[in-house]
Amino acid sequence: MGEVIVITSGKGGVGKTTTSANIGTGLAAMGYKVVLVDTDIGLRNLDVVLGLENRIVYDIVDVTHGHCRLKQALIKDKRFEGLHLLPAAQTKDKTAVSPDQMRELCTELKKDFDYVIIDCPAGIEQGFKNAIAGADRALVVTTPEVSAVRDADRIIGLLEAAELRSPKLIVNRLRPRMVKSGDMMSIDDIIEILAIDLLGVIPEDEMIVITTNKGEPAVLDNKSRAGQAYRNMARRITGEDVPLMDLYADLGLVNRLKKFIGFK
Amino acid sequence: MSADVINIKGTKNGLVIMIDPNKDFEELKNTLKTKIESSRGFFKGAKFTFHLGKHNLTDENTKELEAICCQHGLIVDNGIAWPSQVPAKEHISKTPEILREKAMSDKVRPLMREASPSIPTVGVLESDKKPCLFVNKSLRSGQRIKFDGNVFVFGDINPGSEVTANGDIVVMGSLRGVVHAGANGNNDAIIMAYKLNPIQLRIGSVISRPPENNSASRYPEIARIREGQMLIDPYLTHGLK
Repeated sequence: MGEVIVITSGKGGVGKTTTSANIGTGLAAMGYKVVLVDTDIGLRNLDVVLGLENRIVYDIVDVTHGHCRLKQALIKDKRFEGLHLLPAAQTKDKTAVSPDQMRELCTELKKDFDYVIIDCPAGIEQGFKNAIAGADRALVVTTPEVSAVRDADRIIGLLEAAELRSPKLIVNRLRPRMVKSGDMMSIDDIIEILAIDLLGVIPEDEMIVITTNKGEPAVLDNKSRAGQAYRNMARRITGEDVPLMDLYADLGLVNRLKKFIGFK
Repeated sequence: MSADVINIKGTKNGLVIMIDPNKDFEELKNTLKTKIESSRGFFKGAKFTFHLGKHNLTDENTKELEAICCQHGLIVDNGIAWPSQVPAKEHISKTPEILREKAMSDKVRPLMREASPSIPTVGVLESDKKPCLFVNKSLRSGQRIKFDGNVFVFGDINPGSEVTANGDIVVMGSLRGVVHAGANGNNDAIIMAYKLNPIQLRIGSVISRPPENNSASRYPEIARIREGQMLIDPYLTHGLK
């Protein structure tokens, strides 16, 4: 029996889909059986990020409406045997699926997979309600911006109301240099407001743009700092105790020199 | 046995000179003199009072003894009490208007003083009694509480959340949202928070917002209306004891 994890944020553009793709791929790379479910009906993206767009035949609406069997709609990833995608429909809207149908779908997926990762759409309406309906636990993604944190707070409140207790926080696109100069909210500032446990911090990384466009998750790139952060996060989800990356290590001149000479 | 005739004790408020009034008054006078003289100015500037046990000296005699002490630079202060003899009432009347009392409405304050002169207890007028709502969690964005009475929040009030109460609002955490105390038009209501950093404060019919670039204070604060204006003061707990 697997676990259903919903990745949500409230605000759009903070990195839910990127995070879903990377965490899912990271877990699959560790040998787990993972299925990624895109619930953003009408605005599907997860298939693009994973580079699986051209393989879609059936989607989540076809499954819930009984047009096909679940197994037929699942797309096998090109890199990992254990990774699957259940894509969203592009020509329908959020009302095409109900929370009850989602709950049923999650129960079904849990039987065959270790982790069911649900990519939630932005907003707090039907799409959000669908996405969290079958979830066992939730991960809330935010960026160090006041508006994103505000929306994350709202989402955490709604998750609690839906009996999804103690969600974990992912802070995306942090710029250590800006935090140090006081121009960006720090992790502590965010935690003080949201008061939930931190799962991980992803530093701002240009590699993400490149890998996302190519359809190759950054988690597979050993040189990417964001990829490293996602790998750590995937391990934390499985229960491993992995310390947070030191995001400030590269900031000092001495440290950069040390790295240049090869001490680090 | 002059030691038993006059005994000088130090208390935290000043000196208590204990006198055995059964002894001859001349002996008392001489012993006091020698005692103070032998101290070589040690007591100079100290406040003192006499303690006679159950007995009383005549006013003249008391004055004479006081005069001896005053010659040596001591200062009379009858407020000093021997610890076991502290007259509770007197002690309290000396305390200036304490801050907690300031937080009370004008109606309640005199009654509170009368009802409990010794121990400052929390109490309200029968007609002021309001139900209290204890909120045992933080309020997040989008969450709203409306209550006819006082509201206590054991957590934070985050931006985007709202609390509306007809009575007072007390937040044992950070107040970052919008709160309205005395929502039924009661301008005597108060808002208190461990960290008062609101988006907007409303008490009764007064609405105010913090000045631009207002950073959160590091101590608890209390907001109330004085002459139609929102006043924010530090909430100092040492005024409560």
